[in-house]
Amino acid sequence: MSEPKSPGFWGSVWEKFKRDRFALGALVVIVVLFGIAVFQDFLAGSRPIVLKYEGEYYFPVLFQYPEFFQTDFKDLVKELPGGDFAVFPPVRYSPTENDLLSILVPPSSEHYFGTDDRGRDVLSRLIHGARISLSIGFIAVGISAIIGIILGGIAGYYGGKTDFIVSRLFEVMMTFPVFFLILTILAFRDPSIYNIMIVIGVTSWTGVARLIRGEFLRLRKYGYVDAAIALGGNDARVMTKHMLPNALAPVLVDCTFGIAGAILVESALSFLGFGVPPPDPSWGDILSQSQRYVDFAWWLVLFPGAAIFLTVTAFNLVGEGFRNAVDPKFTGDG
Amino acid sequence: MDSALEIRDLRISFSARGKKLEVVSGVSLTVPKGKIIGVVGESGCGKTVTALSVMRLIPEPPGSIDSGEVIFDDGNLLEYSERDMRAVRGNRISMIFQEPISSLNPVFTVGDQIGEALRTHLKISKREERQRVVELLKLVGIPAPERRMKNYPHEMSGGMSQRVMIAMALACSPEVLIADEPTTALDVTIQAGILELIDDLRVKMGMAVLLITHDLGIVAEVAHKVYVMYAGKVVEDAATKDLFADPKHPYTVGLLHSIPDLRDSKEKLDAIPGVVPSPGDFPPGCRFQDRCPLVIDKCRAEEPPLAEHAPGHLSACWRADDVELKV
Amino acid sequence: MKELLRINGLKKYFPITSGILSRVSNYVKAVDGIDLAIGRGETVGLVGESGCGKTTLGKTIIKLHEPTGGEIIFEERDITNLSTSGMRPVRKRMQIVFQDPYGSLNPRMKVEDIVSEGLVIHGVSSNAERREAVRETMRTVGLREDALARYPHEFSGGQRQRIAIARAIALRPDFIVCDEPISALDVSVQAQIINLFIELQERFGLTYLFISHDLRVVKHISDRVAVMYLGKIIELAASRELYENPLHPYTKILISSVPVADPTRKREAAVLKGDVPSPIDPPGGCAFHPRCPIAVEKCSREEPALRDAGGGHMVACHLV
Repeated sequence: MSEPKSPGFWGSVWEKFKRDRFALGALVVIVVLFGIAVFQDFLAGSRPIVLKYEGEYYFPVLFQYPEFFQTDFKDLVKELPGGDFAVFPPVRYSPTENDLLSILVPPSSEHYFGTDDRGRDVLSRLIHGARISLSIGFIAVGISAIIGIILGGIAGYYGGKTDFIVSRLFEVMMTFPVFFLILTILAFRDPSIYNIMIVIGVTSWTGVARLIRGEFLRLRKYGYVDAAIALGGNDARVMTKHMLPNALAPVLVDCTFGIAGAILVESALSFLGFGVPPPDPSWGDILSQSQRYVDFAWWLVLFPGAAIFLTVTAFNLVGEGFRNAVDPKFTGDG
Repeated sequence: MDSALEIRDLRISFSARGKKLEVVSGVSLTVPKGKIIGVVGESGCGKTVTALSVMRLIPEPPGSIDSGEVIFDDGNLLEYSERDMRAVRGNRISMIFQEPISSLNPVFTVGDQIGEALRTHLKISKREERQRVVELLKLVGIPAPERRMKNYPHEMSGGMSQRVMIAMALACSPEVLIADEPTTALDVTIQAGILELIDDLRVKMGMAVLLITHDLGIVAEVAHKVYVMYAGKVVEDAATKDLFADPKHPYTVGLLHSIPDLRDSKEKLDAIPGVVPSPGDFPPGCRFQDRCPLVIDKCRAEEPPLAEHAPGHLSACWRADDVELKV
Repeated sequence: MKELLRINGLKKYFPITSGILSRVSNYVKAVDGIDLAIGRGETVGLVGESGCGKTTLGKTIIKLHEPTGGEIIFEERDITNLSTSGMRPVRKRMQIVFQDPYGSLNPRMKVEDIVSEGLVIHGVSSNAERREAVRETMRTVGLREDALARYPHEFSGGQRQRIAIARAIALRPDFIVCDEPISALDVSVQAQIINLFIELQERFGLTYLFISHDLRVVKHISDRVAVMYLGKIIELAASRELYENPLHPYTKILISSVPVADPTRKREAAVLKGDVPSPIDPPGGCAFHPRCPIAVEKCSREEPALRDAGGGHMVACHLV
């Protein structure tokens, strides 16, 4: 047997995923979004990336310098002496920077995506909103996945009475209209980013829990689970080493859709005014402003709407591709 | 001998990951009228694919029938149009499968399903249909057929379901019955009954039966003639008595030695070493060479043809005359 | 022969629940009061049709199921009510090999991790010693070392079963439950695996409970054979004795049903009528009486006990 090293399960899932061009394209979109979220300050902001001032080099994006405390760099660079220079991000406005002289300016060479009703640059707010949307999506889904895996796992592994009690808990949880539940909770609490993540997380775990429970009930009948028990493995080991890895694929698929859902929920919350508090930029918040000016300020509708649509669609396409790739009907797994 | 079905030099391949793999390489076999012909081999030997090709049930792609003929009623089934084929399938040639439960549709009663086979091919009234269904269920030995025909598949045991499958296959009194491992999923006590049933029906209805199995014991009990298949080829072809008394291929001998006999006890079996090569990995020359105790240089160089070594006894082995069964 | 394992009146009932409150409405009596002793180094075969409870018995003996009643004595120690942690040292000594070579290996684990798992759980030896032990075990079951870095799906059924056997013997247990270990394999591979079981027994002095529906195989490998019907042992004898002189009418039919690879020996057709009755509501008296060709009135009234019919040949039938 001199074949190349075996790819393992996730290797072969990737092989199959790659063949789906839509999903691969969507994955590229998500990677780019991540890049934007990570490097947001290099893409949009009022501080220069590199500044040579009086012969010294400064990196104001990365570091705070006491000598520039409360300096407006835009004024500073207007009178730079010869030999000194400044490199600004492609979008020279910070997301919170008000310019009351240019309110609701349509897209132009100055403001590529126009400005909002406080004169803030829409593109800059979109770029900075990416981090907020993605982190809400990932952390909220992370929270719900952890809760769902633990509860679903316990129900599916132990079965019997435990399963009965935990399953009733799922059902009670599912009877709540989640969106209104979130609205209610947020009405009593500060709508900070963290609260939004936690609230979305703790209200949307039932899908994962039911999936894991079903998978665990199925896997419980497998020989390798019995074999692991027969070898003396304790419950935790059997669950984490033998059952969870084999149950994870459908959960991860579900989580990918869940991220899209969480981003959408956050946008909806912000649109209704319950979302990320100002002045933090959020896609839903930009969209909510557009309500008042929708008859002429089309850029306030189009760009944030497109950003939300693109992100949600990308996550859904990746989820779809992922689901096909892990489908046992195509992998011959069993 | 009048043949009901004849397969001539059949070649079938499947493509997987851009590679074309031949799974049946020039198989010829004849099913005479009113006889049971056994096809024996292990998984991957091509026996099921051969049977499916007769019914034209091979999915194309990935499968493709590259050459050969299936002669039935003076015509070549492989050249039939799909419409002509439908008139043959389930009517003049029927097939039963290994898994009776999954072969039945869970949302219809068994009476409906047998009736369906009748309706498709025969123009009969509702009352005649009902009558025929009851008769068929009685024929395959199902007690209280009037009540049983109203049952759904999940309400029946494995043995009962297999009887229903047989009743369906027999609905139109086919000339040829193809039985693919009909008893493998069943208990031995039920297996004996099903085999007996197939043999009874053959006598009563004059059917020809192509019985595909991995169990030499079953072949010994019911088949008149046996084809042994290995890695996509027929390696031995003989009357059942001759095959078991004086096998002429080392693979057949290996299979016979692999079965623990009820008479001997706790000692090592003469197992065939190694595993069946997969399509695409067939060695040049004889495909059994790497597992064969009699292998010589010639086996690795040249493929042995299926040749007659005793009257009516064919074997594809260069050393067919040296093959011996240990007693 | 010294006794390794004994079960007394072992029972395993599975509750059937119904309604929204999951009330227990009935029980499947999969194992219903079984006594059996297995000597060290002995192979006891267990045959019966599907649904007779033989797999449940195997799993209950090594406590993969909690017994409903009775006791399990392993090496003179009652393990019936041991907790999970109390079972751990015992688990090292008793193992199981399953029927389905596809479902019995974790598809996400490499062969090395599968085979070494028992050693890891019981903290046996250092990493280096463990690696060597795993390699030694692989050689013992006839697998090449380069298999260790691979995943189960890359192997054929026979090789997978060798991996499962390697996992079972890695801890050098005394007792192995073999639950239909060859039923899913091709004929030529079956013979290889049977040989492997025989070899391992000679080499390590293993004790087997060998469960199969195939009488030819059970007869071949076992010293004694127990025949099960609806959760009970109905006949138990040395394997040659059982085949040459079956006493219970069910055993007789079972033996005569086995196809023999010899066309000159036409067996007399002894076809069993009906199917195995439901273990939820087994027939009263002797559970076999509705299908029995020689049943008399007493059989439907009174349940026959398993008794010695002479020379250790045990049978549960009124008419023997």
